[in-house]
Amino acid sequence: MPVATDPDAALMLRVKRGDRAAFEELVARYQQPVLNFIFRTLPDSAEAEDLAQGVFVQVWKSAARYEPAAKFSTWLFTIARNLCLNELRRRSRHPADSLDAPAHSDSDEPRGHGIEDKREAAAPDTLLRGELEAKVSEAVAALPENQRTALLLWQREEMAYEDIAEVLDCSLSAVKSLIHRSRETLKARLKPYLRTGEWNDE
Amino acid sequence: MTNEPSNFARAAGFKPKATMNDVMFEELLALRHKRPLTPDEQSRLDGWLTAHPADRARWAEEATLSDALHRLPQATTPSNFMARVWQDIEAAGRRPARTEAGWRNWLRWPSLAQQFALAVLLLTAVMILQGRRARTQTQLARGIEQVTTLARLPDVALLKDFEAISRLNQSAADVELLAAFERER
Repeated sequence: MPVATDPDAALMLRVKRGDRAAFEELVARYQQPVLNFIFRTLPDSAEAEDLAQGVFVQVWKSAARYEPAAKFSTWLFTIARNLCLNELRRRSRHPADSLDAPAHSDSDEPRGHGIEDKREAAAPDTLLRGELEAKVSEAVAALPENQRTALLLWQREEMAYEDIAEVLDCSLSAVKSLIHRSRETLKARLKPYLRTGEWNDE
Repeated sequence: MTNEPSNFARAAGFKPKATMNDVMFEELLALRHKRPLTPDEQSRLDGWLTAHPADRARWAEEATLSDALHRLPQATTPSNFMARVWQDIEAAGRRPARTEAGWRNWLRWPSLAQQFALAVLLLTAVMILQGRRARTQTQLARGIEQVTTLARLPDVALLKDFEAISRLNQSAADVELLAAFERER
């Protein structure tokens, strides 16, 4: 992907030269999509935040090796997916552990300690607007990892089948099949709710 | 959001001017999850659904699911996210430096750890040598003792008539003759 057609790749090349402002611009652009992507995989906001931070730390650390061979977002979501997979594997090995444990960092200080978070505490009912949304979230989180990743990336405007194939390291037809299967699985799981048409009211 | 058919629609195999078929209907279902349909796509869909009313329920179900997915709450980004990322980057930068410093201390001769390791090594070597020496002396003494016990030589006087006795060609020892020799001695 030429740098001229991907402004994010141009920013990333500046990051490669150590430009902190360019890095902050990239973080500002992608923190929400990355956080959403991780949150749909690991529905725990604190852990999703930690992992999203990890994604951008990885971007900064890998900047020296970055080559704009593909879209920046493809590269970014590949990192995000790999970190999610690592976390899922870690959880399957140590089910009781949490990302908040000090093992994640070599310091005993809690993460983000000393940096004030000015976000207003949201009421739980505003985080998930009702039971129906919770059911959809659960159903998405319960999808097989590759189906969920394909579906979530497909929902992003800039991600074409080819980009998703690159993230998932599979063929184009496999991506189409994964998206199709994910929709079928969700429809099967949410059938009672979809039939009532309650989501159509808004 | 543009209403023109996007590259994704084309990449997905949807040809706006082509006649609709099953594959294109499937592609429209997938596109509906990505973005709202363009007017052209919508009119083709409407035509398809008029001709295939059985697909109406499926389309409605997919559209509802798609809306539900798009309406999922967004994860809330903490206001200090950027600062926390920088903090993590700085912490990650300090970690390898600390490891390198550890190796540098180890290479600086003689570090405390090296002195200790050397002392332990020397002590072990001395203990092994001493143990081996003690074992060798004990084994030698025991060997000499065993040989002297087993190989006690007969008196030389007994052997002076050895040839005469051997010439007798007796199959068994002559006990009386031996007794006579004993008495003579």
